[in-house]
Amino acid sequence: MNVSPLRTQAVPVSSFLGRVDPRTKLICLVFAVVVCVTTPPDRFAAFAGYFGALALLMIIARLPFKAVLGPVFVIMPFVLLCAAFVPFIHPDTSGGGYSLGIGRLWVSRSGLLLLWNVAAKAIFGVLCIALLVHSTSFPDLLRGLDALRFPRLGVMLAGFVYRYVFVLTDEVLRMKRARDSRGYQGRWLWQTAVVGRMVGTLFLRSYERGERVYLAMLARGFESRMPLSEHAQLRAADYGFLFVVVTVFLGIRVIAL
Amino acid sequence: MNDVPAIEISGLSYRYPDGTSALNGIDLIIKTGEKAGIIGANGAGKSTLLLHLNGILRGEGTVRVFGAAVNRSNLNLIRRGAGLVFQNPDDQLFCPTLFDDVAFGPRNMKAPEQEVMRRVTHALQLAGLDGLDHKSAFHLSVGQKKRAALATVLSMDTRILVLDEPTSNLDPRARRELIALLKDLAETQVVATHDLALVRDLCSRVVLMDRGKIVADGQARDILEDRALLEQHGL
Repeated sequence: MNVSPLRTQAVPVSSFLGRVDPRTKLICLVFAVVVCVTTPPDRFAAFAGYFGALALLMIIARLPFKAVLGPVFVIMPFVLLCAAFVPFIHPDTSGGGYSLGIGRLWVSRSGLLLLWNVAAKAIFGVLCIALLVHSTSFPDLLRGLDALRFPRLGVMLAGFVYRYVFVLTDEVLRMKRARDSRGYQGRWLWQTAVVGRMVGTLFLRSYERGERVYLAMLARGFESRMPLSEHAQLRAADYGFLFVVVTVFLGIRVIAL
Repeated sequence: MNDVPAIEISGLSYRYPDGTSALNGIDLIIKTGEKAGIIGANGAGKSTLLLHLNGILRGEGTVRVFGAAVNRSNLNLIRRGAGLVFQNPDDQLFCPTLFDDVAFGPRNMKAPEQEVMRRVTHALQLAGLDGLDHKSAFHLSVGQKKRAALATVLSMDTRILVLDEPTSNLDPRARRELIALLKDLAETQVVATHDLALVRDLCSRVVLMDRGKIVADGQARDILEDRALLEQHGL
């Protein structure tokens, strides 16, 4: 049944960061990202401080460096594609560009700063998110969002997606195997129709599954409103974590001003 | 209380919206504490009949659960009386964690959180799934999923368990474990299946259906011995 390679998801490490309440972590994430994004790009010391703080957190929480840094390499091509040309085409307003010595190719200082600005902030944001997902299980994350009054419909939808995306990918894989076992090569134009039919079948099956899930919900007394689960109180440690994160980031921001 | 039958169906007929007749004049009484097997070939109407037992489908005729007629106004009461376990556990387990799934029923009944905790723990224990409460259903084996689906209904403390093909897709050991679990439960049970060995192990009474009608109803051993009858109706 379970054939999807997606099945092996990262299991949160049982570190101190894993025990911090998801609400606290979510607030800290938003706070740190906002502080970082609003920092002027030429305050290099501040950025060093932010990244230093993240690295420290990663070490204390004993998170796997490789897994956390992975997403950075995924987004880098996009960031670079967007920003890498800026230093060449962005004209300097205050002067101070650098000649590359190749014909009339110049790099502008403000353009470089812009590239640094986009790249550093994007990487910081992705690192923060990676830290969050590597220390929090998805159900905990949903609970945290719910407790923070995130619209319940959105939380519910995210929950269903999390539950059924693997079921669906399994189904696709089984379908593909059944198709390939019957000599499909995907080589000729007319064979594309097969793919179309598969998508259609998948849609109908999912639609029917949706109906069956709804029946199963009805059978257990569902009345069009997702039942509330109570949320545990934040502990002193959670407030402590929040306090430390806020102080550190705000401190770096103010000192580097 | 024992005089009131757990389930009382009279003159029940149902047509699907496209006009296909699925049930045709069903009369059936199931006593409290009875374990009844509903057998029949594919398309005989077993699953459709089960969906009537807690008011998900409502056809012509009457269905009574512990004396209360199933109608729009008392669905909540009916669903507290009869718990339905669907054939495919992937349809029944739709929450991010097993705990949330098992807690779904009690929470819908507005049970206080402490009571919810108690019931979930108890139901998971009965189903032999203790300690797995924070797993996602995706990480369970098929046998565990089947038992988990049962636990989602056990936590509702219903007095009737309605099971659709409880042993389908199970390997022999998972099947034996599930049957042992069902045997130990004191609730009234209605089991729709074409697994005749399951019926022989679990049920004292058998109802044979074919094309939306009940064609035989009696002691399990009498009907299961009658090979000619079974073969005539596609089993």
